[in-house]
Amino acid sequence: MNTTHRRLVALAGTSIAAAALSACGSSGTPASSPAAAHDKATTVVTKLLSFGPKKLTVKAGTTVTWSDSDSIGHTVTTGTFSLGSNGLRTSEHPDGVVDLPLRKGKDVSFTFDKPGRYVYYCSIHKGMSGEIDVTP
Amino acid sequence: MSHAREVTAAAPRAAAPVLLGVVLLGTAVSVTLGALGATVGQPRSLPTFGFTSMQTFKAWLASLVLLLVLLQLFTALWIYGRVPWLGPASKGVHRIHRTSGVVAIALTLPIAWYCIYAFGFDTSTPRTTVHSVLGCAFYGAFVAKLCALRVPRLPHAVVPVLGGLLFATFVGAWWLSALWWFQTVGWTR
Repeated sequence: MNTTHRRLVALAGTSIAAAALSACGSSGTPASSPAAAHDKATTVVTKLLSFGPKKLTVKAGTTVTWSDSDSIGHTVTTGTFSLGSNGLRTSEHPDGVVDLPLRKGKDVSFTFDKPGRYVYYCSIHKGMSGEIDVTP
Repeated sequence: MSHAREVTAAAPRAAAPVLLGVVLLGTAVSVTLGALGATVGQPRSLPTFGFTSMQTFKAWLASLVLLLVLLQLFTALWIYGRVPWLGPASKGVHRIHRTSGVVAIALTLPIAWYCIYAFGFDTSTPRTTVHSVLGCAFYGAFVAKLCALRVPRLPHAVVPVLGGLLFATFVGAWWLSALWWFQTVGWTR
């Protein structure tokens, strides 16, 4: 292997290592990110037309991740709504805190810095909602 | 001359029951599909063939069908002499109309299957209700048009009217589902 060839191999190796390191250090909050292993205590997983767990309690500063477990697309939309007698939402008022499409392999994360009760729903499916309670 | 008048006068009378039969058959297909969707339809997770969700898969496939449906409309207008600057429609135009129609209907079948089996006749919102009705009406109009093409005694207006109904129901169903989906989650795969 001549000197030029050795330098090219070293350059390629360094580039790959740099790319791998930068990928490890990237942050995706609040945003969509590729599916990865998440802490069960801070992860909400959809199952068909429901969020599970429906109610999650976390401490302020915790990042909650929503993950789609099947092939049905949803949204994670925080806000208020009213329910009809059939249990389906009749009106929705998104508050703009989180409003992201949720699809399989495209997890959604959000860091809740302020304590409070955050109600969210899927704007596509009128019977699908959940709640994040953030304690100090 | 009197014989010709008799034939002309008799034609509408003979056509009426046939036309009624065609309409009833189309209605029966629509109602059956609606009942099927209401009975067997429930949330299910089905394959997405590389798309990120079932809805996205359906939306893109329906949009592909929409292009064929627009081609159907254009070739139909040409065949009926409504595109005068292009002259009379050749046999090739008729062939394109038939082929694109067959391909369009074939491509709607997976969409219909997903709608009926994994979504059902959805009355949870006005949008989904109208979409469900239009989806069922689309196949009713298709069956009625297919029958009308094979019944010689029907008035000439029946086939284009049913074709127009087929076009309108599909565009309406697409508007309330695929277009709504793209507007809701973006034009992604």
